[in-house]
Amino acid sequence: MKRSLWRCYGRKATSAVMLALTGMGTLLLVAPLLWILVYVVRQGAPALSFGFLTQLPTPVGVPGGGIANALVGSAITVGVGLAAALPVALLAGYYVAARPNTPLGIAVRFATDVISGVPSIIMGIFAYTLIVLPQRHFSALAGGMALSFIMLPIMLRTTEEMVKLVPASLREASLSLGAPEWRTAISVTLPAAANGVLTGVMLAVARGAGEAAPMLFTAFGNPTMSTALDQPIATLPHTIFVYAISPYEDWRAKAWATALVLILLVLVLNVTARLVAAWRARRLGSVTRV
Amino acid sequence: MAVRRLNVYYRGFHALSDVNLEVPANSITAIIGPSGCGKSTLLRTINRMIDLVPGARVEGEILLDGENVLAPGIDAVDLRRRVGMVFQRPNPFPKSIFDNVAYGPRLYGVRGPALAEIVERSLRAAALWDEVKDNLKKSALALSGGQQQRLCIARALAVEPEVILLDEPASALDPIATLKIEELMRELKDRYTLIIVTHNMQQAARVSDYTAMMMVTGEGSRAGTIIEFDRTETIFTNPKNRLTEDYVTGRYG
Amino acid sequence: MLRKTFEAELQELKDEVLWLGSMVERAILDAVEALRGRDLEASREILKLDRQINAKRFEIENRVVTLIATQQPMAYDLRLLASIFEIASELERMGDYAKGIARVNLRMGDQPLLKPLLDIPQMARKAVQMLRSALTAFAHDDVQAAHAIPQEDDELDALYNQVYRELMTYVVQDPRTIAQANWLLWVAHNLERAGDRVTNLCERILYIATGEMTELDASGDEWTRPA
Repeated sequence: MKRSLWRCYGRKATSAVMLALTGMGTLLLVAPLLWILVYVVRQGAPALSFGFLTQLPTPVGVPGGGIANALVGSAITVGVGLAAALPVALLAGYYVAARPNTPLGIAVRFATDVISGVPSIIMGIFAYTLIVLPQRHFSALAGGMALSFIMLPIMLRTTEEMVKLVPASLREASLSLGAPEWRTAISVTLPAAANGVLTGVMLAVARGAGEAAPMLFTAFGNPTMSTALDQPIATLPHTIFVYAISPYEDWRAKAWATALVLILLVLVLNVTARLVAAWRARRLGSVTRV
Repeated sequence: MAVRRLNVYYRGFHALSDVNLEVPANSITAIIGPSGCGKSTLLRTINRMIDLVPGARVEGEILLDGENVLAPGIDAVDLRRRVGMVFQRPNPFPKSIFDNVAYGPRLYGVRGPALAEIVERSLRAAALWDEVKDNLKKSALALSGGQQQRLCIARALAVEPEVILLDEPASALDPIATLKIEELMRELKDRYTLIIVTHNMQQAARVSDYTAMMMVTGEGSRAGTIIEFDRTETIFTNPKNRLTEDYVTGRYG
Repeated sequence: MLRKTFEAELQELKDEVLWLGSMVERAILDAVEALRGRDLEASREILKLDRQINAKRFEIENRVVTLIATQQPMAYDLRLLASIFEIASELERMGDYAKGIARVNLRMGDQPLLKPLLDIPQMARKAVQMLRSALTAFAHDDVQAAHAIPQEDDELDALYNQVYRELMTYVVQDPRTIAQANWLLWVAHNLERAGDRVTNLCERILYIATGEMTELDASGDEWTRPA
């Protein structure tokens, strides 16, 4: 009796210690994140204003000016990247999930692993040789393509995982009604996986929106407002890079402010995506919860 | 419907061995037997869902209206329209109630008022219409388990199959929902031929007209076959095969 | 072997039926013995025994219903339980015959027997022997015995006819014997009916073992008219 009581205390003590350890781990993880956030807000907030978002950059020493061109440029390059990568990611992701053990399935998975391990600057150089060199000038298109290579494996992998999470019984239900497989994929499997896929897309967008290195060889940057795909274009991370390494105090302040804008944008996008997913789940009932 | 000398192999492993079965039309035939005897495999061969299993090989004949559905000329996708299936767990699509039932007819190009009519008729046939008629746009996943399963039956009925296969359709349901499904099956047998796989012998005894007893036979073999087929009352009161007797009295194993 | 508990309960139930059967055997033999010895006290004991038999029958039926409700018996088990229901009620009726014989003895009060009883005890022994054979066949699902036992009923019928003829000669010679002759004929009739009941038992035993429902002796249920 007494011994079992001691053992009971022992179990409770172990449980308490482990809980404390996991809590500390969580804290260790969250603390730097919060610190970065607080630091960026403190550094960037003073230079942030409505005009900062709507005005074009001004030369050094000229007061005012903003990052309107970079905001538009980032949206365009990420949009191009998404448009190029998403269809491929959905189709290939479905294929890999549905036929994991075919030679093509294995090859695609292997290729995805390799691509996701390639440093983003290499992706920039790849897009540079593929698009910039033949065209003989930098362009938004080249920037978008570089981003699409970076975003592709992220979206492909989430699509694969989410499609795998869709219960086989749903697929079978569709097939048993006489639906061909392509119809089943489009009408049942991918919609059922949509919420998870959406999260993957958001991750990829956040990642793409934050890439500076590949932009050096592709989008190049542009101090004026440009929406043309075949012209150089400014992007937020590239702007941060240029401002941050400059010797001028007011540019460096603008770099902080731009960084804050980028972080807030990614945050808003993520929250929106979560809300959309939650709304969809409430309306139709979720098959794959993320 | 008839199954003749059916053999099924999975990558060399013999799953079904010489299965012979005459399924009388407009009746309910139950397939009973211990786990792993090939009941589900037999069901999935009848609507050729087994084609989707890599490495599965099928020999023999399954005759539907005198036509061998295993013949190379028969398209499995077309066949599945004639042989509906209801699964172990209710598996409605994450769509509205209407869209679930309309899924099949839409595949075949039905639109507009004709579609609405089919949906209503199928839901009525599945004894679900009165419960959902005001909420057709609601998500199917908001229904209770028993309602979901009846929705799945309605979804299968909407493509007007000749045969309906039910793979343990009530194993995930509570007793009341189970009895509703069984009652529904009895109503459906006037128009359809039903084949139900069940682990629940009382259910087979309650609901079916004929019962097929499946079992793995032979030393060292894992291939299942039908060891006895008879009217349900005979199987449960006076089976001829010793193994059937042991199984229905609960002495098998 | 699965269902050890259920198996044990079925066996126990069969034992109960055999026990009930042996109570009936004793009731028949003792009732006739009490009549032969004009022992009224013994006959009163038979009435008590009959109440025990009735109670036993209800107990068995109760257990059958419980097992059907809780164990979902199928095939052999179901046939066994359904048949035990029938067998218990047949045995209880045979117990009633013994009670009827005891009543006859009590009604006859202190009047002496017309003659020493010979054929009636012989009938009782025959009926009890058939019953015992049937119970043994029940215990072992003995199909052959179940077929053979009803044949012995002819012997019982023959004894009955003999008793009938003998009593008739008494009545013809001396009409004052009519009352007692009638009582004794009633006793013989009860024993003859007991034999028919054994045939019914054999039909059940056959059903348990084979699942076939056959009438073993079509004339068995009818009033056997003396030839």
